[in-house]
Amino acid sequence: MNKEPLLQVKNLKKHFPVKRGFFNQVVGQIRAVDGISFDLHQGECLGLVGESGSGKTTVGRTILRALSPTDGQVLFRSDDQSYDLATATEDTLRPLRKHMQMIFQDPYSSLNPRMTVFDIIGEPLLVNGVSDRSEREQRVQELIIQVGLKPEHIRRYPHAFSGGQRQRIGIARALALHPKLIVADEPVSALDVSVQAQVLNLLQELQSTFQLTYLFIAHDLNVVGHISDRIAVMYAGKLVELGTTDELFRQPKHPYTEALLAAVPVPEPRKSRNRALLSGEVADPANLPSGCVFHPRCPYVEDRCKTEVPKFREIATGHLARCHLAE
Amino acid sequence: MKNILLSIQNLQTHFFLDEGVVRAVNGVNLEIPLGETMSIVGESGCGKSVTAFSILQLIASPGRIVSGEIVFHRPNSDNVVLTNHKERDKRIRAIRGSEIAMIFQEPMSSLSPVHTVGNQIMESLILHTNLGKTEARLQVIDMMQRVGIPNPVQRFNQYPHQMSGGLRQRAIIAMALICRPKLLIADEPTTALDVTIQAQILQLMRDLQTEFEMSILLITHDLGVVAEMANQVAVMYMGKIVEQAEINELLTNPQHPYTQALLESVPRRGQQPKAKLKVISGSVPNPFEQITGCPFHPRCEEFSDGLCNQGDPPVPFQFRDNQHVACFIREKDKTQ
Repeated sequence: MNKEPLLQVKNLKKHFPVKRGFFNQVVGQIRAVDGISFDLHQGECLGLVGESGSGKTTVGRTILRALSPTDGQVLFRSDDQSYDLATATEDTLRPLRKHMQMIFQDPYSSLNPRMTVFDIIGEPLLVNGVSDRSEREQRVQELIIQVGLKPEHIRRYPHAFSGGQRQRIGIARALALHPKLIVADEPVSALDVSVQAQVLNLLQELQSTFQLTYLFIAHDLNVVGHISDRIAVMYAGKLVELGTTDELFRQPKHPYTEALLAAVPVPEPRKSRNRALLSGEVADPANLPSGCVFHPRCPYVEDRCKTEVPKFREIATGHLARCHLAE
Repeated sequence: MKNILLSIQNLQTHFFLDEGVVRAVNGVNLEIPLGETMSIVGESGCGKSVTAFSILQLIASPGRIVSGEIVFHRPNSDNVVLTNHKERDKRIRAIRGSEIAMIFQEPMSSLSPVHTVGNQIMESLILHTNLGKTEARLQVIDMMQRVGIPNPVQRFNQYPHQMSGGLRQRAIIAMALICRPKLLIADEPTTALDVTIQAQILQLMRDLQTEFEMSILLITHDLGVVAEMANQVAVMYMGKIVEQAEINELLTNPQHPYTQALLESVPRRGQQPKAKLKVISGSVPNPFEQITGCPFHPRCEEFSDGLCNQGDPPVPFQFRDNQHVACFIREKDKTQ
């Protein structure tokens, strides 16, 4: 961990303009991602949790430059050189792209129904210069075995596979070019529990075999906690807490994390039904509250929370929270 | 003996497709006690939703209820055998939406985008009672208030797109409860919602259940939600109930290998970090397939050749006071 981080995100922002009227005048900004910073080390898995609309998917997509950031830096280390992905030109990006891959949520819409498994997994190879068909075929065979499917499956089309198997194909495609960083956006949320466990186990095995670095985006805290070394909690475009999985679960410092942990239903006999429920709904990123973005829902709200924006500060070693009251 | 509100006996609902017959519900027996929450859990395709739709006689062609009887024991009134009535019978239409109501999963698609929320809630009230519009409107506003919709008078005239997901789900609950149903069927009521909103909606359903003294049939895939809500749980696999038990019994002492595996495959807090999750090997079989013996045997860890893959599927037997299991192995162990 003393090495330089693989990925450094500094004050990343992505705003979307809101346009109205005949002349498409910009009448406001949706601040989907509003100043996010974190480091990601080689071989680590960082979980990014948040509710819908919190901006977690936008973070993933902006890091990979599927979207261009509004502001901020994304420093990516490759071959002992550091590149700022946020401002890099397409020409600089192209050779870097093979080091970063994405696994998508919906295994049904992320695979082209008209391509065979061989074409789907082989395409990134073809694009990156593996033009010899037999070489490609050999590599696809290897990949398909690594993700737990059978070599004879590569001539089939996606419709012949179940949801879990399709997700394995998506994973094989992401692995094809030996990436360093994988952004997994809700990779198991569309799957049934028993299949979800299979895919989570597979992701963990692959991580240790290939020394992969994951940014694991999900809304399910239990799933994220299972696979991540550290967890970042997002609310209305900002990180509100970042810490090791263990600490964050045992001693959440931000009231939102605390509420999120309390809200997750656990399959265990219930002890008491009385617990703190969060009132209200997720903040609207087009119209953010003043001061601390969480203050309208916070049970511990004080006067200064309504006006002063809290800083993202270190409460304990490696454990950061954005709350005036955290200690 | 508890009072039973609804009993399902040997329900079989099959879908007749060109490719073959899908036995979506294949011999389900279930009793829903008065004022309690019964939950059906299972993975996609196990037949839990079809069971719910069968109760309301909402099975569209090519599906058909092949056999079985569903009896609605109406408190202070006569019993109705729901399976004797067709989808469009007057009798069933009078019950559907008033005495038995349903909440669906998707809050957006179960509301009409071209009618105001208030009118949509009011519709079933006007249909099932003799109330005039003014009186009905007042009752709707009162119900909207109870389900926690702020400013019900203004919200009455709003359209669904003007509301958030959580509010829409509250509106749907108001719609279901407006006629004071005795049985509420909730099919994945919180699956599309965020956890903090989910917690609010579950709390609301519990409060309203006590207030209106209704039974809930909760259909979900989330064992956590079941633990929060249910008194009784039935676990379904391939159209059959494989285990049925009182909630705490099922969570602490599951007996069927499928239930055990299902509970162990859920990641939990406080587990050994990065420990391997237990998995159920393979995936849910092709729905056209007819498996001899126990339908779970190809995926079962305790599979015993000659016992599990022979003859008819296992019938649930009483394992403990409040726990029934359909498993050849458990039955054999028990009798020995």
